Amino acid sequence: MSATVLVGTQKGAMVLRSDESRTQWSRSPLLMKGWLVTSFARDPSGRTYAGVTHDVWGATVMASDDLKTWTQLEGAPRYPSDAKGNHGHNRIIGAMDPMEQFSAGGRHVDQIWKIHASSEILYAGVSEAGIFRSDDRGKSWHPLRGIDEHPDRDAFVPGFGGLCAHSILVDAHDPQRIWVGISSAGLFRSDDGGETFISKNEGVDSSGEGYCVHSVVHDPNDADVIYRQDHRGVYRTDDGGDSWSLIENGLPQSELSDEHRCSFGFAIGMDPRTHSAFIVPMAGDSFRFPHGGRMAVYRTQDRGESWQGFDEGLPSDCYANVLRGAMATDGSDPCGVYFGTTSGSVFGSADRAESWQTLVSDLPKVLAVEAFTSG
Amino acid sequence: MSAASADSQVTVRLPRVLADLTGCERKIAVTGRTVEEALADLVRQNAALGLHLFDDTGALRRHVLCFRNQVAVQSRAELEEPLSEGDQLTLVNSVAGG
Repeated sequence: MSATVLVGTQKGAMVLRSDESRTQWSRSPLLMKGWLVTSFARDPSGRTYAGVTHDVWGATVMASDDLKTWTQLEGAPRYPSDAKGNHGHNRIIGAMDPMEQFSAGGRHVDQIWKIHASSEILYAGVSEAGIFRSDDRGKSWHPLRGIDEHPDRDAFVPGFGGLCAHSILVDAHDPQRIWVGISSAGLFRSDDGGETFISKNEGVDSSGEGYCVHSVVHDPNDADVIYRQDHRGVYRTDDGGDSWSLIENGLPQSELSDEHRCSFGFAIGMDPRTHSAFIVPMAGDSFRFPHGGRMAVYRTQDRGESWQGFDEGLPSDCYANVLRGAMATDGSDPCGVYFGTTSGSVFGSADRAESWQTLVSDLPKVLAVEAFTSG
Repeated sequence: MSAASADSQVTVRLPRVLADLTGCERKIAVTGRTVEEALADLVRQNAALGLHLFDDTGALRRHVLCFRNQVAVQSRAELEEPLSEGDQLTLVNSVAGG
């Protein structure tokens, strides 16, 4: 069973393909050169979508049927020109925008953070935070009202990168149930297809300014079971987010800037066959690199009751981060696990994280990793 | 709008990063009486470019530079000046950072 790994970076994307053993890898030329490639999603027909953003030319969605030729979709998520912006978000984005495009007070789509392909429905998570839906393969998009008109929206506090909707989960058995992660407003769930969203963060430690969810992943057999890498630790819910429990037994602890101790990190992945979850702990929010520079992936096989770390084949003197979108599994047996770093390396494991090899290095900062098998 | 009686055939040069994304040639033949009309024709030919050239209010994005021949088009009035046959419009983006 060969694997394909899609790598999105700060300046383009690359497609990595393996042989049957998933030990020999080839790489494509750099695709979508010059574009921030932040997310990939693959629909049931095999079409692959990529969220892309450019500081000057804006944010849009690309699609490809062969992973070689990428075409911009006809439509792109855009807010109405009279939509009111979140002050905190515009202040952050404005500070990083010397041309003051975003500081005038409106609500703009300044980045695509997440593409989710759910049967024939596409969702795009964007900043300023919102979820857009397309029912016509990207020709037209409309924002989900439940986030767009959320009663607490003005009080949402943006995270370090602005107010962004970076995580989307959809219940495969009940597509009316949608979860969205927003930094740092927390995780929200809709039970009515996006008309309303309710905050689902009970049991998660809060900094007092909101809930800084970093990434979430479903158990594919039970959408009520969600694993969560939060700014303030690793959690699991068994009831769709109604309540959360800390699951850090065996994980390295780090001290955050406010002296709170937890297992800090960004990325999370899941083996759909064994229901094992994977994370990459970092040495706290002040450092955002592996503990002692030793990159390691931690795996739980018992729903977070215990964790085991693996570092064979990973660098031991590494001071790079692994961002929230930069980890993926390929669904094979045994499951392949892949992640990319902010220093431009991509690592792969063909044995459920127990040993690793470097698939590519010296890329721009890796923002997104997606994987699937074929053959 | 300034008086301009007939459409002119002009060329728009796109930056590489946009041409790659939209599947466009980098030199596009368009027609229009003014710079504004020529850019509108460009978007008619390739609707996806509209997203990249214009912001949510319909104005040219603030860090997109448009040159008519060798001269920057810097004001609303200059967007409405009549074109001459064979003019070349060049779209470039400001460049900064690492």
